[in-house]
Amino acid sequence: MAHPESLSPMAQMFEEFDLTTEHAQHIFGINFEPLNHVLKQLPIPFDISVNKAVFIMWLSAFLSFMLIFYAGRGRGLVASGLRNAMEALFQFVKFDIVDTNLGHEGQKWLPFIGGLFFFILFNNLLGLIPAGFSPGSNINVTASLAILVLFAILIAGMKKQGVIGYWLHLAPGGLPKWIYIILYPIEVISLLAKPFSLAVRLFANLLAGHIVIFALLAMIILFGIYVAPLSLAFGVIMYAFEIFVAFIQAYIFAILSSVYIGASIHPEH
Amino acid sequence: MIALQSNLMFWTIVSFGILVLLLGKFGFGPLVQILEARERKIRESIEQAERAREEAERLLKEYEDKLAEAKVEAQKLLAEGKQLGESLRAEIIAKSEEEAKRMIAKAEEQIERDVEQAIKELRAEVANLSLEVAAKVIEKELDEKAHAQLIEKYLSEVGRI
Amino acid sequence: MEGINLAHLGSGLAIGIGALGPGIGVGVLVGKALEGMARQPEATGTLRTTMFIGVAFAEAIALYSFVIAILLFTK
Repeated sequence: MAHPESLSPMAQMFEEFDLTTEHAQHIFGINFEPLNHVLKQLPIPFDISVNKAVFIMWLSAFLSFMLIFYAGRGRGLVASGLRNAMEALFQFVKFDIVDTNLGHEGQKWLPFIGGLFFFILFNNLLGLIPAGFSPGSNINVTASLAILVLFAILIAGMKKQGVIGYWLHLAPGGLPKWIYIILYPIEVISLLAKPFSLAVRLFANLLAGHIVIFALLAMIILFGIYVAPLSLAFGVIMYAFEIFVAFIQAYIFAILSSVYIGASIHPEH
Repeated sequence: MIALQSNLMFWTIVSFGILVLLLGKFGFGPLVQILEARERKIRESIEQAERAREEAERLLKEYEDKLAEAKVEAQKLLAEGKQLGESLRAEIIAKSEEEAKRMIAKAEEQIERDVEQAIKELRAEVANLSLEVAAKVIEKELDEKAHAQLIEKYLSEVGRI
Repeated sequence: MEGINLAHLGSGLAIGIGALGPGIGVGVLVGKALEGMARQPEATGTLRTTMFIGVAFAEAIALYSFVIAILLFTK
């Protein structure tokens, strides 16, 4: 981004995703600049300023909690409408994602995995609202979540086998000693590659979806108004696909996290 | 593009951490309970339905057995009744035939007796008449002497008796 | 200017070539999963879950090249 004034529309769009422009301070008519002024006064050694991605994350955390809370408050055995939808999603998370991969320990990990699923899902869906922003399309967000997953993997394994035992059993036993010199770094790298791939997958999927829609619409600017119907039609199709991707990526993130945590709890499998 | 932005990382971890804590404390517990309650309810309902079905099947079988029994009973009763009726009829017929025979015999006897009586009476009448006729005839031809002789003879005969 | 053009070319090549392998991989994966579903319809649920995980792994490779492409593009 060497010459800001000569940036192509594409590069300008990347600036938007970087949240470095002043557009990042506004969303849905809310301005965060006064709040950021106050936050800057706090004695915290790093920047904690609020921007639209942060706001969307708050919103998504709030929404996922309120909706699940609402679903859990329901009386009567037969749910309908929104409660039914939330229960279906929750049932899916509990039985298809958590219980199949974590087994008996599922109950303990349910808030974490379920939180991941609903947090990412609502992030993605809120990101699809026009004038919204998808926090998942910034790698810092996905990387933070992935780091939390990495900690979860480590904690799950260490709880099961002890702190030293976990690191000792990282590589499979029963091999000649010299192989471990090669194998151990590989195992450590594969351990780190798991959250890395999680972070990059979510980030790149969401970013790619938004870029494709943007590129389709940017064709109107590049080639004139006559391509508008075509690019709009494809834009709508991609948008529908993005809704699918929003669900799929939340599902993938949650199920891979639970697979990794499950593999850490039951290393023999 | 890929630069560290501490504010995003901070807020991600904070908002997600709060979400997980809240979900663990208030969110998923009731939902799990609801699901378990529903599961229990459904299982109970299915079991109850199964039990009810078994009960119904048992009752149905019982009724069918009873019905079959009743049918057999009815058949038996019918057969018995038929037999009874048959024998009764035969008896009645035999009795009435006998009665009829007896009446016929009685009537015949009566008739015979009447005829005999009639014959006897007739015979007596005829004897009387012939005696009268004979007396009239004899009255003219018998003379005094012969007459007396005859009376004597009769008297002696009577005296012997 | 020369450097930026080369970087843009490299970015296009990165995503183009990088998407080849994962594309084939996802195709094979889904095809095989479909075959398995057709052969054993009762295992559809498990197969679908495993298929999605596999697709995610294959897709990740294309996404790495996508990230590289973005890095090159915004250079």
